[in-house]
Amino acid sequence: MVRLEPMEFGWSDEEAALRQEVQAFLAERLPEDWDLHTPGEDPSSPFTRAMAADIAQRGWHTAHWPEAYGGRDASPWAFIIVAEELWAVGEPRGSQYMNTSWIGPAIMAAGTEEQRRQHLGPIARGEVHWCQGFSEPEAGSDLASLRTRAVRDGDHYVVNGEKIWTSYARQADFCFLLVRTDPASQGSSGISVLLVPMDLPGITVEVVPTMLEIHVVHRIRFEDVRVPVSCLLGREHDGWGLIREALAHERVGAPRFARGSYVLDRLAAWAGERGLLDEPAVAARFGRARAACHAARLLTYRVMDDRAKGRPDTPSPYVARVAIVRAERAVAELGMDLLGRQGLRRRSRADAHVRTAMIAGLGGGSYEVQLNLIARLCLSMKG
Amino acid sequence: MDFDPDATQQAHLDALQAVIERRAVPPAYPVAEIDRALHRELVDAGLLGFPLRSPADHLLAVLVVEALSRANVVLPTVATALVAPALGLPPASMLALAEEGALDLVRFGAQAHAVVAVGDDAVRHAELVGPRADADVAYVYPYGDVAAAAAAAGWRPIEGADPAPVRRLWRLGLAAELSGAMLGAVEAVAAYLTARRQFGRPLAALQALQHRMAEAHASAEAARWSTRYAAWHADDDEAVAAAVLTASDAAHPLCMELHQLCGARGFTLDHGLYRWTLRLEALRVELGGPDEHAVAVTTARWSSAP
Repeated sequence: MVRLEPMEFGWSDEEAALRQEVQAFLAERLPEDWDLHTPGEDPSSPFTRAMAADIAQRGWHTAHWPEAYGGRDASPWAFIIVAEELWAVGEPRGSQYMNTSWIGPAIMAAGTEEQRRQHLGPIARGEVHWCQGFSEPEAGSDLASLRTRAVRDGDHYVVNGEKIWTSYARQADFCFLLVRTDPASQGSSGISVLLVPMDLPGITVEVVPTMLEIHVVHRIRFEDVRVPVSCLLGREHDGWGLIREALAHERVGAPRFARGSYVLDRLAAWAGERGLLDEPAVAARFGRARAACHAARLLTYRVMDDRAKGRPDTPSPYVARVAIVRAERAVAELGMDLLGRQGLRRRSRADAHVRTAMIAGLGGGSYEVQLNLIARLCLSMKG
Repeated sequence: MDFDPDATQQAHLDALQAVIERRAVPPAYPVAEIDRALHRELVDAGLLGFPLRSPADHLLAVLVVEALSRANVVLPTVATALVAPALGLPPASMLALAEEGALDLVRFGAQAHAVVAVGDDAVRHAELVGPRADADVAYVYPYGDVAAAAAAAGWRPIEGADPAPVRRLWRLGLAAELSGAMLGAVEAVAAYLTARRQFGRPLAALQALQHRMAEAHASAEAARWSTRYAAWHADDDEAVAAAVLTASDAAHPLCMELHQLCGARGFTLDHGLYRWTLRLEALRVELGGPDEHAVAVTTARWSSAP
């Protein structure tokens, strides 16, 4: 393949204009204190529903999708520009960021025409909520050991099992559900993906009490849930590739470094008002956290570059995710040190970011899983 | 943005790699002998020390410094690739870089043809003729005291040279050289851990070591891409300071960690890990304390913050 563009690190006029448009829109539309929301905290309120629809109507929600599915055929750069700006200020689309980043693309890649028709339009219009049924009580980082089973019975699968630590389940219209369809299988073979309406009989959702405060997770029980076979995404028993791809998108789908940078700016304003930025020790802490966010941003951009060039299988998301977690932790630690005991107050910027940073190391696959993958794929260190 | 070299950039890097494979000799311990002929060949071929007219030129210069460092080529690449062109000095001259007032222990000072001293208000240049006292330093680079030789030859101010951008390019180059050394060191140690068997299996199979190596890799990658980005934005104080900080902060822990992972074998001269790790320490020191760069990031970002 002949490549025409040189390595370069600038924005095109079009990309710069898009960022400005999104920023101007948010400045006009967001209530004064909206940025105190932690991204994902308010998955589906009347406000986030209205914002998601408005953002979709402006063509930003799925700009990077093909026009045929409600997008604008824009590059992954448009996706990350929009995602950064929205995530930084608290993600006013609620949980719908997930849909455009990895659920929609998975349906686009593996769905039937009917599934595409059913799901992609509502996602592109910003009017549907999804959750992802991945982890189970006995299958966390070892996702391939999942036990939720789906047994074929005529035109249906009968699903039994339990998913846990699921974000956004209470509000979800659909679940991107991983099930074991081949009972004799082990590990990553014999797993399938079902696109399950959450209002089917036999599905119960309950909140799992946690200390996270800023983020609610759920347990979903499936008891003899009859899911039409038409909900199978891709080939039966062969869903692992889809999952890997979805996870790779998820790892950088939420540009957490942008929120980290935003929180740093707010903390710096607070510190500046008190003359603290003139203290070299404080200034150095800010500089390190800022540089960590910057590195995470660039490593995420490298993932976007891979996507723009149609290279879905590079290890770049794993390296980016490590950098993202490091950045989140640096901001959280600085916030708490800076605000001192006031940082302990519920919903202070420090409090919220400490909890955010805790989630960052686990959501989208644990930090340790990223390290496993880097060792294997980047350094050829075999287990 | 585009994170891959195009055909022209790749051809440049391929030509560089071909010369490295044909000519480069791993640096000796404790001090490398500078291969002047190799330096001359790289400059004459236009691979090193080309004019810097655009962000693309700065980026290519940084890619060259990074690649040479990764391949363990010990030449004054930062000076030749970034500082000499910016000052209009001939790239073929082997140039040492020094802070004004710190001329007693200068990297390449023992073997360079000339020295550039960067001060608060001016940049000065002096030929270095005749013997200089080697410094008693075992960090691969040939350190020397250039004060007497420069004074004997006479200092000349470089007209119109602003110290700030010169220092910025110098630091950018050091970040690139650090990045290359980190990448090379991580690769070398990963290969060693794969070959070395203990407990009946390769050390590379131990997850505890895999995770530490993955952390090292992520640190080196963060430094590399921060530096490449900064090369494109070479007049952006924040971008350069962030790159320098990221590279500098990673270097010392990585040096210690990689030696730890290689065990005593990593100390031996035939193993050769020192070729990267000792250079990491030397380059980091030349950058000055990383806290200074961390403060510089903050100043650049928030100096006008309310």
